[in-house]
Amino acid sequence: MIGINKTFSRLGLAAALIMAMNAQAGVTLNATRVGAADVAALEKFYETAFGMQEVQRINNGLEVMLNFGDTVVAAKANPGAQVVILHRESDDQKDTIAHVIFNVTDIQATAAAITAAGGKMERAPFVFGNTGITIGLAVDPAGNHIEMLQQPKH
Amino acid sequence: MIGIRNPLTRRTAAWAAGLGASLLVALGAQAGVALNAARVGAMDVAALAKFYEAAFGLQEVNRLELPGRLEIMLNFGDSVAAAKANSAPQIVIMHRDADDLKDSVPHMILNVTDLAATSAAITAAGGKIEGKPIPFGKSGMLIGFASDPVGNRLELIQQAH
Repeated sequence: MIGINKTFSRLGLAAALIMAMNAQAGVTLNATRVGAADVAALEKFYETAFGMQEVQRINNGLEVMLNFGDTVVAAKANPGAQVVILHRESDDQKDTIAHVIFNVTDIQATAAAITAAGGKMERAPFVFGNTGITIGLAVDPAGNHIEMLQQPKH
Repeated sequence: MIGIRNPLTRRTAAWAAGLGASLLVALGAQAGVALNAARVGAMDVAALAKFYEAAFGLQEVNRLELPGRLEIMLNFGDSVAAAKANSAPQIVIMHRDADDLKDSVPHMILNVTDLAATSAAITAAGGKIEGKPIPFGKSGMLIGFASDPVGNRLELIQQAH
């Protein structure tokens, strides 16, 4: 995971604000990563289901970095933490931890997009207690668990 | 990952906070989806949270205490209040029944400004450094790998100075 496009010198106001907020001990979150035997196929899923854009690829496509943005240029300029897909030999994992958690504004639409893109919903979105927060749990085509959170609508 | 104790603290803040949060949401608003957090697992969630606090200066911003299923949310900040107000994606530790997973994927990637110092902090807090830092080509960047005390692999990136 190499953030060539994320050097501090290229960051604008938003990045400066983020860095200021995250400057404790000089450590900040760069990305969360999932694995896939077929990186390109899983990349298509994240692009299709969540509207992410490829911002970088290394090692002949064995690792790709994705981020949000209306365009590839915008996604590359987005200093927010990325989602990274790394090649692994097998998708036969027994890892049930959802390493990626997304905020969503329309969980039903996102669930439909996940299914349409080849993922699976593990259970229908449910409201957690009296918080008003709706939670969705899904699995991507390579078996990585994903969680979605929709805040209460005000 | 749901908020029983102080459930709306972080997630509501992402939508209700000030300029920084607005910018973040705007930057990550493609199709109404944005990254909320990166998550790792541990049998002993509280113990692993102590590691992340000690090694990286993270602060606990929320915890869910379901029976036998503790989950702790962490974020960066000079104080707990600052970390709670930080709208950047969190690091979440979730209970799992075993730590003996053979998972080689480093699910968490951290930017660091001083890789040697962070490596020392990881070791001091009970983690392990995996090999020497690797220069990435001619970019000037250094990449380090580590594992936390329960075996979650971490990647550390130090940008070129």
